Amino acid sequence: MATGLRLEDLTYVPFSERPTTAIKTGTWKYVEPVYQNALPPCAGACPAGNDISYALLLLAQGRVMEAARWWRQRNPIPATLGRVCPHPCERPCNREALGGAIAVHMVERFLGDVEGDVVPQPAPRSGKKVAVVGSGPAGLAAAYNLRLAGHQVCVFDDKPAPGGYLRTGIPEYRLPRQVLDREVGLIAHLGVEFRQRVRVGREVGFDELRRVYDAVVVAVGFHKSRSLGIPGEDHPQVYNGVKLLERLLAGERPPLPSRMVVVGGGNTAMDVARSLWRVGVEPVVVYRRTREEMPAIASEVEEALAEGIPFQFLAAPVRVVVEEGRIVGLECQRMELGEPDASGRRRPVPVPGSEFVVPCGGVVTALGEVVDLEGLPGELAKGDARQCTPLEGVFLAGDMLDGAGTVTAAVGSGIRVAAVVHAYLTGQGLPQVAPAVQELWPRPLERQRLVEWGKLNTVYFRAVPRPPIHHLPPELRRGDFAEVVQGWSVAEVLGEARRCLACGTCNECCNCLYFCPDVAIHRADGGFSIDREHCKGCGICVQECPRSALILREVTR
Amino acid sequence: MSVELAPYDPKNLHLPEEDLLRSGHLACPGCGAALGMRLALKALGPKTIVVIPACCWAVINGPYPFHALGVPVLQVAFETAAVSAAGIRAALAVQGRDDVAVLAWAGDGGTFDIGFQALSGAVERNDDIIYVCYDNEAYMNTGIQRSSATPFGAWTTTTPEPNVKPEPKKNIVEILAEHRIPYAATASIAFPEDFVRKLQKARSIKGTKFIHLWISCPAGHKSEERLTVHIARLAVETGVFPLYEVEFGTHYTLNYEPSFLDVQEYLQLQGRFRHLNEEDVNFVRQSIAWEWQRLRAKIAMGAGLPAPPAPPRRLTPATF
Ligand SMILES: Cc1cc2nc3c(=O)[nH]c(=O)nc-3n(C[C@H](O)[C@H](O)[C@H](O)COP(=O)(O)OP(=O)(O)OC[C@H]3O[C@@H](n4cnc5c(N)ncnc54)[C@H](O)[C@@H]3O)c2cc1C
Ligand SMILES: Cc1ncc(C[n+]2csc(CCOP(=O)(O)OP(=O)(O)O)c2C)c(N)n1
Ligand code: SF4
Ligand code: SF4
Ligand SMILES: [Mg+2]
Repeated sequence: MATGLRLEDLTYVPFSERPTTAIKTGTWKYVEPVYQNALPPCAGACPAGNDISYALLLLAQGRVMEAARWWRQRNPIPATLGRVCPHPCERPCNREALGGAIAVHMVERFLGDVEGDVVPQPAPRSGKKVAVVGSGPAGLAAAYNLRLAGHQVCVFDDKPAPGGYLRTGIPEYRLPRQVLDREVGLIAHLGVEFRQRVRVGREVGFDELRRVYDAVVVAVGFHKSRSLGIPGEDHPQVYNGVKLLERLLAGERPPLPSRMVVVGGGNTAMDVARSLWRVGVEPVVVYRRTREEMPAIASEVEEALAEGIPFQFLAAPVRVVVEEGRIVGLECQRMELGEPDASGRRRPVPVPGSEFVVPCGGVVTALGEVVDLEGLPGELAKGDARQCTPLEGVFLAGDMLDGAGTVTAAVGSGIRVAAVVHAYLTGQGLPQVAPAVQELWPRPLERQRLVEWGKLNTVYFRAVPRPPIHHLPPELRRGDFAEVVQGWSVAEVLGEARRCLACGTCNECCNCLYFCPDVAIHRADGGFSIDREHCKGCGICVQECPRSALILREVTR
Repeated sequence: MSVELAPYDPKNLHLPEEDLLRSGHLACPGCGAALGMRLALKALGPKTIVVIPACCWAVINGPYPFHALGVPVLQVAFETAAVSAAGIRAALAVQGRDDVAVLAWAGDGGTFDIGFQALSGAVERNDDIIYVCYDNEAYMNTGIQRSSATPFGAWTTTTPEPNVKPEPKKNIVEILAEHRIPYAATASIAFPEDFVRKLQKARSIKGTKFIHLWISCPAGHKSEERLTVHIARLAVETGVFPLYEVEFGTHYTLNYEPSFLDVQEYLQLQGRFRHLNEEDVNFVRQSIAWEWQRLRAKIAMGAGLPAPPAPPRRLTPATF
């Protein structure tokens, strides 16, 4: 080599120094990843449409107030629901196989109990007035959401205080009254007016309501009782379950026989039996099928058994045995299970000659209720998919519309009807069907994409057990109506929120970021952005996302 | 409401944040070799010189005048990765710099086959380099020709059906261990934390360090691009590719106990194994079991051995 030659002079040494970022490899792709929140199974199964996964994510991050506020965006009674809901959300929870389903109801209960600034601001006044008939969960949810939408709302109810069956049916040992009162109070505080002891069709005419209000939501529930249809049923010591409960829960302590048979297998039967047991009566539950077919919430049956309440399964009443004017027993017939009926449960068929007497001094019937339209127009008997009636400006919600029979379904129904009524009042035209509650969430979400187990990349998840839920010991329950299920501490709730897999919602786990071979994913405000100029569309990010928060879609150029 | 709780950490992986691989490189979509390099540079950081022989990565790095890495790269002849890296190390030593890592980054063809004598020489001299063989199990850059890293039964353009490769894969880590190399390890792009840790450990050790990195190659394995990490994980979870490290050539440590999923889970996702019949798959199953028996025996043997005595003499730069 010639002396004095410097490296800079070696122009023939190929030396690359321009970064490849100038090469737009993004043009190669025909599919591309996009972040897309999708519906988790929990929220898909929650009839009230709670945005469970997002609230859990906020909680996991320790953002308790935001989570509590988020949960109340549409749902006015989480503290109540967390206590009484049979939590269908937990059945399909993807956590089930990894330590047990998330105890969503415990989280909801906790968030519902959070005090402070938890209720959203109502929209500016619209100048429209809505009447809501019935202050059960459906009426409360309708009133809350209509008020939040800016309308003036007045609730009419025939009972002394708002709540429907939450107050007259569900006992305090499951739902303490101060919890219900607080949630009703939050709704009232928003400016919803409650007019109690006013039966529409009696104290106020239905047509008058329609004249005075721009829209009427009817949510009067099921309050006409069915009868047993057996001899001796009209004896004064044969009580109607919901009516007896209503009196007991109002604090009345009527003189009752010391041993009573409760007929039925639903929530009312359980609540009657457990309430009677608390006031010193010895109840016996008689049910025509077996424990498996009982429509009552399974945990309520367990609690009743834990309290030592005896059950007579496969027994149907045939006669109230009255001697010298006093009830001495309920004659029953043995049943056996036959072919499944319309409800899918096996039909009980009587065993001939199997009659026997359950000794008792009184009988309580808990056979289910139907709608009571006394004083109301017959057009209210049926609503359509939009929750509309044939009467202009009259809408339906709750049990009377769908007979779903749960508080959560009633809340969902109330939320949906509020959206329909709002569309009606603001002249947007009525939708074809009432929107699903998830469509009303304040965050974008692909509702059609359900993130079931198979859509998760579960290699990133480890099993973590669900913490125990503590119950008041049965020996401490007799004599009063103290709450049985104990709430979780904030630490327990946050731990549970961290167990949530955040199915369908990005929690910034960073897998997409780290596994991109093209370094085409970058952190952006509260999440990630994809550098479309360089992303080649391989889809590794979509595959490695544990929770299916991304999808691959065709590139449209 | 405030609560004392460990800070919320949703991350599944904890890796260095800095990236020295740039977008716009020319790897195929879903390339495991590109991901491997990204992770390697996360681990080693900016004070690294990379030596790349002929292989896919020589193309991935970009055509003249482009360059995909935020560190210097020397592209060298196919068979010379180890010796070129050793030369750079010697030059650095003369300059008195020992803060720069020299990384030889070569394919399986350039390592198991054509570059093997150079590598063997470097290890025998214990040259102070980190050598990573990214193993896509064939000569991919030139169109999927078999190498001695190609596994039994794989289709390549030089082992077409029905004459798919009859020989099993060569065990390169074991051969290097027999050189008494200070550090040898296997790694996978599906286990990034393990790979990063191994590179950082390698950087802290003087002498030759060898890492055998298994990667998926959608084009050569005939697999879906999005499954690159997934298949790499299955290679580990089925026992096909154990994650372990060897110190002084004798002390074996297993880094990950796989779940030993059936190997079909792994094979069926790759078109290169499509033609395998039940007998072939059974042979693969038996081979996995046998290799694991051997590996565990070696782990047990090493556990009973003390570290080998350190030789009292070594070359220093001053004696060059
Ligand atoms: C004893 C019992 C226990 C239950 N336990 C549970 C449980 O644990 N979990 C669960 O999810 N569900 C439970 N349910 C079912 C649940 O309570 C109901 O499905 C739910 O309350 C229905 O809500 P709603 O708003 O449609 O009607 P309701 O709650 O029935 O409220 C309707 C209200 O309208 C009033 N009303 C009726 N007619 C008029 C009128 N003409 N004018 C003015 N007001 C009127 C009624 O008095 C009542 O206050 C239980 C039910 C009972 C009876
Ligand atoms: C001496 C020599 N022989 C052949 C080639 C052609 N060639 C370039 S890359 C390559 C294959 C490399 O295979 P491998 O090392 O496995 O790397 P991969 O391409 O698979 O990444 C070959 C044969 C060459 N560049 N030099
Ligand atoms: S309302 Fe019921 S179903 Fe919905 S989140 Fe609460 S517990 Fe679950
Ligand atoms: S893990 Fe979380 S997001 Fe997934 S279904 Fe369960 S509660 Fe919902
Ligand atoms: Mg190769």
